[in-house]
Amino acid sequence: MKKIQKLLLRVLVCALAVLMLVPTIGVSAELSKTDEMSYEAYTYWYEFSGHSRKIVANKPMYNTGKVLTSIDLECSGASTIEDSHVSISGITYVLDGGGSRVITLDEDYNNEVAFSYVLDKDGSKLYFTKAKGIFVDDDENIYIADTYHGRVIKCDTKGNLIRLYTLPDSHLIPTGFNYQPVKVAVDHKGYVYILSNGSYYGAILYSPEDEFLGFYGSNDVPATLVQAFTTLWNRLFMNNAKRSEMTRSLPYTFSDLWVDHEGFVYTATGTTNKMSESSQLKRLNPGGTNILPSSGVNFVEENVMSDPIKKTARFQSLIGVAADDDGFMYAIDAHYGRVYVFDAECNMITAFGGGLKEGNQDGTFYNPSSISYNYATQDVIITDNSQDTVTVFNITEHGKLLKSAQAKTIVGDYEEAMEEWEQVLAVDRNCQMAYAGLAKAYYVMGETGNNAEYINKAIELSKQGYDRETYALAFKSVRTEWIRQNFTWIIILAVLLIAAVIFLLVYTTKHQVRLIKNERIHLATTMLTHPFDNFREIKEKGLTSIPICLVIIALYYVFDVMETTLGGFSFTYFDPSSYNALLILAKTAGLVILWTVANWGVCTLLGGKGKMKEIFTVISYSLIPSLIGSVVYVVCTNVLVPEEAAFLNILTVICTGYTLLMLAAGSIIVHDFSLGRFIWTTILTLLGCAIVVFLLIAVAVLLQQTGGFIATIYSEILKLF
Amino acid sequence: MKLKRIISLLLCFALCCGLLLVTVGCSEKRAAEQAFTPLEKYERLDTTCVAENDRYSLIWSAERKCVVLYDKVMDYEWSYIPEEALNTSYDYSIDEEGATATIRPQVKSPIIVHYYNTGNFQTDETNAFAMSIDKGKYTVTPTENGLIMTCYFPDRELTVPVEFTLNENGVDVSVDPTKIEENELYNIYGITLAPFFCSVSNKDVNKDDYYLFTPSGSGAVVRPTVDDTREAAVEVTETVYGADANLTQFEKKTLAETVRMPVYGAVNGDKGVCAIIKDGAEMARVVTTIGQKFTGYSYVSTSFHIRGYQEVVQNLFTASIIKTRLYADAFTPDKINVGFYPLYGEDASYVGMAETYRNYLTEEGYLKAEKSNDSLLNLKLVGGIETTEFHFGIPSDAMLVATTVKQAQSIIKDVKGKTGLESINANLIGFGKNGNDIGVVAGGYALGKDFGKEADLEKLIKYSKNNGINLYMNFDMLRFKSSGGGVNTTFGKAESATGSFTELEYTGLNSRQPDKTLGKYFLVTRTKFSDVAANIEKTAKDWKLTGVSLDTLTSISYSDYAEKEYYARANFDKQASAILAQFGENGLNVAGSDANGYAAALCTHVYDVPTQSSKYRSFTYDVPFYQIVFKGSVSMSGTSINLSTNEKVNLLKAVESGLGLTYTLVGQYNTNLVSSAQNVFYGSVYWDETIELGVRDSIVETVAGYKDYFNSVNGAKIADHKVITQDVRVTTFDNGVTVYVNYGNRDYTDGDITVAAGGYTVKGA
Repeated sequence: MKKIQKLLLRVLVCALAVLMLVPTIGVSAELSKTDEMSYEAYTYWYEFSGHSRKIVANKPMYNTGKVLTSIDLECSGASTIEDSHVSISGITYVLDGGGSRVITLDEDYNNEVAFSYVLDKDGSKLYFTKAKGIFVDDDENIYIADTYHGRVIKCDTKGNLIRLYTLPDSHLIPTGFNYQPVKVAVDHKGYVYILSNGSYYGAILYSPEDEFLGFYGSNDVPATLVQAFTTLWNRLFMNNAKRSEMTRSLPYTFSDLWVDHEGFVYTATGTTNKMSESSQLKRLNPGGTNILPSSGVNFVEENVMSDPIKKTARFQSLIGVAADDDGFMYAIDAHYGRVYVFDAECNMITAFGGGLKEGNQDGTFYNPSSISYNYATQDVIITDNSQDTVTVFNITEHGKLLKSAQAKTIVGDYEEAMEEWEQVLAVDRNCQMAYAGLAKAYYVMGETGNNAEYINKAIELSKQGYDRETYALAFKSVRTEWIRQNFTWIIILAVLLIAAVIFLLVYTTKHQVRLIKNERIHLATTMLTHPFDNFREIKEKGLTSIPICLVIIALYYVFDVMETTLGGFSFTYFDPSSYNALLILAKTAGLVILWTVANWGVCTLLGGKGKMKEIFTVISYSLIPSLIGSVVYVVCTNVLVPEEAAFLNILTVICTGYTLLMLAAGSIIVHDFSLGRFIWTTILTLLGCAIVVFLLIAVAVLLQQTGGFIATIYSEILKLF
Repeated sequence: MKLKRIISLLLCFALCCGLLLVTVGCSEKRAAEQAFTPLEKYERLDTTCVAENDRYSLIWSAERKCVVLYDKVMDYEWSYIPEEALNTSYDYSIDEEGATATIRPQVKSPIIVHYYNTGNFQTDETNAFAMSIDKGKYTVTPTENGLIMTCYFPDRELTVPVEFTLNENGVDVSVDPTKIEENELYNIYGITLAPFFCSVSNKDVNKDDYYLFTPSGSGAVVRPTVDDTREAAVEVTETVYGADANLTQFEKKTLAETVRMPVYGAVNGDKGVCAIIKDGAEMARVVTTIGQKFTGYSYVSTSFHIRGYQEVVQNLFTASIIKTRLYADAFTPDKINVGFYPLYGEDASYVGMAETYRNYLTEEGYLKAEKSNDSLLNLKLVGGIETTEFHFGIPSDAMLVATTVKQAQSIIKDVKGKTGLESINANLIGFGKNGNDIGVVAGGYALGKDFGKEADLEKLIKYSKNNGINLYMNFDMLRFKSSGGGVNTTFGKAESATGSFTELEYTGLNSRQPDKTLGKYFLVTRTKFSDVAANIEKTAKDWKLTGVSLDTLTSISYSDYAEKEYYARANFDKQASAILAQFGENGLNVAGSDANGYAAALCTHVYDVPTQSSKYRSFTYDVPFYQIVFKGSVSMSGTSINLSTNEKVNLLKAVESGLGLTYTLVGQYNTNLVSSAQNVFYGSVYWDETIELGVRDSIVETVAGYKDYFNSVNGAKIADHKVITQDVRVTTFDNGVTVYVNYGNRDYTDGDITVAAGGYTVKGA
């Protein structure tokens, strides 16, 4: 009978372990056929469950409109469509750098006229073969970044030369500076910004009076501690000759720039070979300082992909940037062929396009070379210099609504944005911004109108949209109101509770009453207040209790799980998809067992007097402060907001410290060690733990390989018969 | 003694293991199909008429070394060689001297053979004219109704017999793979049949009535263009019925529509050719080549991959990593056959090709002659997805319910009441044991407990029967993840060309690569199809369902190398058609989704029909070829209006070909659904009482505006279709109704017809 019980217990434990290890959730079915595009449109949800960013399918904000091919653009063999720019009058100017042509497209993007050279006043023709950039100012003057000839040509729409911007003769220009203009932009005041190929000094800046003013903006070289140390070392111990041979860290060069109607300059930085980058896009003020709230933002695509065959990383390369008057930024990535739209707060609102360097369908690209924005229609225009195409992405009604609502939300017009957000939600429930926007609106309305219903709605919506900031505000408001309404009861209850505790303490002390008669349980409950005495008593009287220890360990596991899953919304970042209960079990119960075994092994060899049972008891009882810390954490995170909960970190540190202290005290007592010997054995125990873990991993690998071997044999048998 | 016995047993076991290890990876030795046998004498016919009917003569022209189809009525010669090249000989001397020959040998080839070197897996191709016919290494023998031209390729030791058979309206060109001869070094993996039969000269650019038709998605017209910016021709290759689901896909760079119909063609002014892949369509790839300067032609052809393969990534000793194709040990047993049908006058158009294909489907018994009863409103109700719940950290499966059966009934009831429609199609998707996720095959033939009780389903079925609702329940009978329903994960899986069981992964939303976090799934072995179908039928009968929906069976196809007859996807159409036909014979309605041609013809209703091509830049414009073929015979609806990027455009596409409207709906929404990789939930809430928003009002409004027009073309066939400008199209139905559709943003006026921007005008209703 006992054997059967044991067997059943084992089966149960195994089943539980398997359950914990493998969530048997089904595989997501294939995406439904829903649309007419050659790519997926998606967005990110920020701070969804445990994800900092979660990729989510969304209602497309842009669809592929007109695509002008090399045949439509009457390209020749030499043609290379490099850049485009839409003027304030809605005319699109396309630069065919290879063929030295400027092609104009009307408001419907129909091919109109082209000129292939700029006529100087003396009648000579200026060709701009291999030019890379084009810009049209508010007065319809065309600026061509004539890269190969080292100049920027300013001309009128008929191709008559107005002036040339050649390399300025100034002491500010470094010796040997290679002037190859690739991009040009002009602000509403007439300041001209020129990007030169390979220049890491920033943009060359000309005043409206065509006076060279110097370099404007540039990327920084992030300094690490190692780099700083190396630089110092080199300065101290290297001669000039050796130093000159050293490689220098230079800032990344800008790949594109764009000037908005307010005169702010947006810049893009191409490949940075990084998985995380917060300054690939910048909004520079007149002083050249980045004013985007991009600290902590990662402009790089989530899950930077690798080539599926070569396994090499495909780093993102933002080669173009455009912006609108609401601060929305549009960036094109050369590797993925995707357009990313960010709002003024650097939240990515959608991504579309694609092709991964092989896109020959509408809306996909081989080698996108520039991005432009049409202020009149909100269209986004992409050129591809490999396929010689101009692709127009038209904004959808949904896209217009979403952008409008988000722009209002960012400037604080929450109530104005409400109706638009509701319309957005009606067609796209996957729009996180809509939940957040509505939550903010309801919160503001609730606060101003003192309307609890609105506040509750704000709580509900902010929870749905994972907007922890608004949730905290609304929660605080509800809590304050609740306390105000129940203040009398709270005071009475608190007084009664305190009175009851005092009475209990006085009564038990005066009458020598012992509430817990069982000595072992009593020891456990008073362990927190008398750790030294209690451990000594356990050792001397042999009052160890395995059931109590098991209960504590079980609680340790449960409270750890609770801390992760049941904390307050503002504090919890629980991700069911990556949660592994077995790992938590290993982290809690497993760690206790591991320490017990390793410590017993080490201390037995080094003259420790503690038995395994005693060591186990010490470790288990030492966990009591951590248990209390977990309970307090769970309770506090459910009644406090983050700004009030700074003490929780301190509490955690105190509880952990107290746990370690109890562990030290217990170990010293049960082993009858001096402090020095305790430290020495603790270090060896840590080493022992590492050895045990290593052995466990080795056994696991061996088992896995054996399993693989058996599986191969099995499949071969199947094949043969 | 005992120890000795144990040791000997252990030794025996070790020996067996060793033997097995030695045989790992070589369970069956690959061998060439039939050994190449060179001939000493190549016997051929003199010029002669080998077959004849009232209209056509099939002639072997010994002088021109080609087969000619002579139209006696029109006094015109058709051949796989374009008209201009038919009577011009290929001049080697010009080519060798460096000048470009006028006619290239490819143009004169009845076939192009694709082969690989079995030693290094390098692929190459050879054309029959240069390497066989022009060298005199071929034979021509008559058959009952045509001839067989056997091409020998001595350099590569390959023999391919090509059969030409006269049919009533044209000629069939076919190859029987079982008669191919090859040696061990060079193995054939593909054959392109009559590549230039459907071609247009590059001289005919910018002419409206000179174009190619390719069946990408709904169909596309491709005008020959010559791009001066590049030397190489633009080539678009699309696999008929989509990629083999059994193939490992390392990366899907873009999304593309699927070729749903095995038909293509070319129009040269008042003459045209329609090509129908009659056999082996599952192996076919439609190749559209535009502006090939080398030959001077743009053409559309079919390349048949008669030998299946699996792609694997190999790490070489040189540290380089390469992708290699490992080919199957044998050819598909299926014959490959393309029928070429000449067209004249007004029929020489994509509309004429559609009519030819429709007639073919009717003659073959796929398409019924009777008029369809089209359904205006077609709902897809999505049940839910699986999720994980935690109880003290211990995970358990749970269902994230988006629609319960009761909610489904109330939605249907509400829609019917508010739209006033007499009949509605409703498809319950993802109501099985695993919701809309892949789990047990066909959802375990059961209703997921979280969606309601079987009594609720019975009520819904009863309500549907009494209220003109055509109710369908969707079953995924091809994919599964866990054992159950008669298919287990050990023996129930389809095999790949390398002999391993296929494990598939989904493509990540932004990575476009297999996403391991979404889990793996398997394909049901094709030997189990009839069992699974029988179980579905039994379940439907038990529930008294009148219709089942088989989304995957109608839109996916794959190979299974467990049986030779299923190699290279062979016979999938026959298997699927047999199941669909059987359901129909047993009184069950069958709905499909984005269905392949053979399946669409046998469905009662097809959801998500393709309304556009894959939008390759080289395509000139899309045409609703699929709709022209099936409208009036099969009830159809487009992709979900409420989930489309531009609802107005989607609606106009429905108007253009008189399609029904599809809406995907759920009863409730939970933001946890964003964690699902499925893209159906974001815009499908029917009505949310808390925020008083949903798709309801849009359905009512759209149906009200569309109803009259739809009723006027219900059951009508499309008689004509024209693309007036890139934005304006006109469709004429066989009952006299004509609709003008304007996709542009400017009004269109032509005589007394004015079509508002983004609107449509109906005449004759």
